[in-house]
Parts: sequence; C-alpha cells; structure tokens
Amino acid sequence: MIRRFALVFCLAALSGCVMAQGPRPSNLGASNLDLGESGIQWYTTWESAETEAKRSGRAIMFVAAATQCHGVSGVF
Amino acid sequence: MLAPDGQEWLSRASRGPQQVLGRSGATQALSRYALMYPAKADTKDALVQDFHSFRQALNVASADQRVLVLINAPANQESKLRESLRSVANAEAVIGRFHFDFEQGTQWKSKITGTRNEPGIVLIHPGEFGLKGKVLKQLPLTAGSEQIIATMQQANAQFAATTEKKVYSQHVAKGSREGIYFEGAVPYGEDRDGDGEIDRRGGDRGRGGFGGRGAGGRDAGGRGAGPRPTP
Repeated sequence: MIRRFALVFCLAALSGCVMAQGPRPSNLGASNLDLGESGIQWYTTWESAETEAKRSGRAIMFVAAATQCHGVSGVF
Repeated sequence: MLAPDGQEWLSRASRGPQQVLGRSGATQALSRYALMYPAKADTKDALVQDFHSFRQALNVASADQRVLVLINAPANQESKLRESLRSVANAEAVIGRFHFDFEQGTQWKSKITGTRNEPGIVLIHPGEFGLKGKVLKQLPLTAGSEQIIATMQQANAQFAATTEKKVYSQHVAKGSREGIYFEGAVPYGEDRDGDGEIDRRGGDRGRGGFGGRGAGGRDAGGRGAGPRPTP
C-alpha cells in the first residue's frame, strides 16, 4: 500500500494538533509500529509529492498537520 | 485525496480518516483509489524525499522515531545524488524506515554532535525533541548503493535497540515541564472561520483557541502570544 500512492505530509496549515473525533496529543499513546519497522514513506514537500505523483500516475493522499503540539517538538 | 495532477479533488477534505475515506475502512477506500490510478512508472524509481529545512527534518525524524539520512553534498553534486539514491531510498530494506533530507553547507552541524569536516551521507539519531541529534554513521558521497543500504540497516538496528519508544502524551507533558519549545513556520492556533487569521478566543490571549482546551485554553493562559526561548 505504501507504494501505491504519492503520499504527502504537509507540515503546514492546521495547527494545534486537535483532531475532530480523535484523541488530543495529551491523550495519545505509543505508535503501534515498533522502532525500526517500516511505516509510510511520506513526501514532506508539496513539490516533491506532486512531481512524484505526476511521474508515477498515482493518487495523492494529502495530509496537513502541525509539526508540534503546544510548542513541544518531536510529536508529529 | 487528490488526482495525480495535484488539482482534481477525489474526496472532500476533513480531519479524520473516516470523514475522508468513509466508515467502511481506510484500507478499502485507499485500494479503490489505487485501482483508479495504477502506477504507470516503476515505483522503485520514485523520487527521494526531501524537507524544506534541516530543522524540520530533524523534528519530524524525532517525531516518527526514525534515523534521519542527511545528504550533505556540494551544489554541483546534489542533483546527481538525487538520482542515484532513488534505488537506495526505495529498496525494500529502506523504504518507510528513514527520513531523507538534502542540505548544502554546514549550518546543520550546529545541532548535531559527532560531525566530520567533509561532506557525506550522514545517518543521524534525532534527539528526543528533534532539536538536536548525533551522528550514527557517515559515508562518503561516492559510496555504492549496497554499502549505503547495509550501513543504513546497521544504523536502523542500532537506533531501534538504543531508543525508547515514545508515549506521545508523556512526551508532550515532559516537553511542557522542561520548557521545550519549537518555533514552527505556522502560527499556533487555528483558522476555523477561514478568514486567513488565527482565531482568538476572548481576545488576544495566547496562540489561538480550540474551545476551552489545548493551546488556546488552559495552556495558553500563562504563555502569552510570544515564543519561549528554547533551552
């Protein structure tokens, strides 16, 4: 699945890390993924994601999120 | 969800996967989109990821708890490396396990320990809060794909064996206690009314409101609108 889309995680737009109908950062546990295991290979700039989507013909799942919560980095 | 041209919307935009992909399951919905747009080029030649800045790369690598692969090359070698590293970044042993960033110059070294003078492919263990890091391995820019992949696997194993998995709620609480602060490119808060400005609740008190909790509520009260110094 991870190779079927041009995935872009845009570090912009929505700030504050609140997800409607979802947990707040202060309620989040640990990732289900073990350290070192393979997860999603995101594209982290719009330009690179768009270029890759056009090259490969794959759809884009665009995710916008904040880089941090409450100013604490290393969260998202 | 967007079509490959980056313009056509395939779904509405919303905050939760269920709202965008439906309640029948995200995987099923994504599979449908994948069938609509099958790859027309070899995914093993996919572009190598990059970030807008090293600072952001370090932060995201810390958040995802992955080793950061920094390609620190002179300008005249970078485009060639972006091509040659495609086979590395898309290798089965690598994909989804690392973040990649291309940086020229030496400014990134101020945040990292164990650096060398010469350019290279630098495997970095990001710090807990993504504000600093340390070099795990460094390879010359002339290293072959097999050598790079093998070294990355070693670094990944070392990272996984020596790093504590984050519990994000505890991470946020610890960061708040220790005064950790990351100045993002986007102002804190939300623009829910779409007027182009961060919404304020009860006047200009903090970084924006979320209905009584979060950055605009309880936590924002004592912080004010300005950034705190990074320790």
